[in-house]
Amino acid sequence: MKIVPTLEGGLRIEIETATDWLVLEQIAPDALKMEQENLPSRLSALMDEASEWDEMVVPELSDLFHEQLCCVREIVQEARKGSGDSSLGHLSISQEDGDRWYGALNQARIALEGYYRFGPSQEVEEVESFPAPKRSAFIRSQFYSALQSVLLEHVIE
Amino acid sequence: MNTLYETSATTLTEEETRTSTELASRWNVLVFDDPVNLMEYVTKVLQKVFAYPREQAEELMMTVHTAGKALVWTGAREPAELYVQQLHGFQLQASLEKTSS
Repeated sequence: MKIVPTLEGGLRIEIETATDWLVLEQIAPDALKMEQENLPSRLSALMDEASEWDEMVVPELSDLFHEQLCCVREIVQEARKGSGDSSLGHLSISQEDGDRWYGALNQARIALEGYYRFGPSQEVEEVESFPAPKRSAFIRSQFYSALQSVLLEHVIE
Repeated sequence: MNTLYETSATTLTEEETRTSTELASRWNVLVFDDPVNLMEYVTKVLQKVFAYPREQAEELMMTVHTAGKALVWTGAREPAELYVQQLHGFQLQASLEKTSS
């Protein structure tokens, strides 16, 4: 996979292998991994009862976060459809969608961290000792983080 | 019946007093460290939400990172809640605390 900034202020992602598609398609499912204990509710737990956060704010945050995931899922699906049977292809992240992509990737990383408890830093030996699902989740999380850094550097103002 | 009305009225007044006291108090907006949000992102969010200059936002972000939390704003409850709502929208861990004074 190659990620290139565009002249319009967005990003173009060149897909080079079938695995690249799989990783991008995994963003939304990863973000929903902690659905039982979803992000708006976890943020709400930081607030006191007087704020009525669950009633007043959580529904709005749920809509916002859901919309971020829908945006990413649709862009990846459309790009995959456009590539036909080939594992090669590309997709574009416009400047307007930069915040949604960042938010969706963040949701995925928060959910994976909540589920697997990677912690703030990992030694290579430690990662290699992880069971396979945790190890692949960790590698996806690292990729999501790298893509977020590119978005911060080139797309998000 | 009369007693019931009086009791309800008393309760209502007490609640109103508590609410207005809480609104009149000053509140701190706190941002907490977490293992996910990138330092550059936290800086940008603090700039966006509070219109802080880059240096101030960076300093606050570093306090979050090193001390585990930072007091990012103090004022009335209503705007404090709006700030926390925005911070939650950016997926930062934030909450309110009444000032001790």
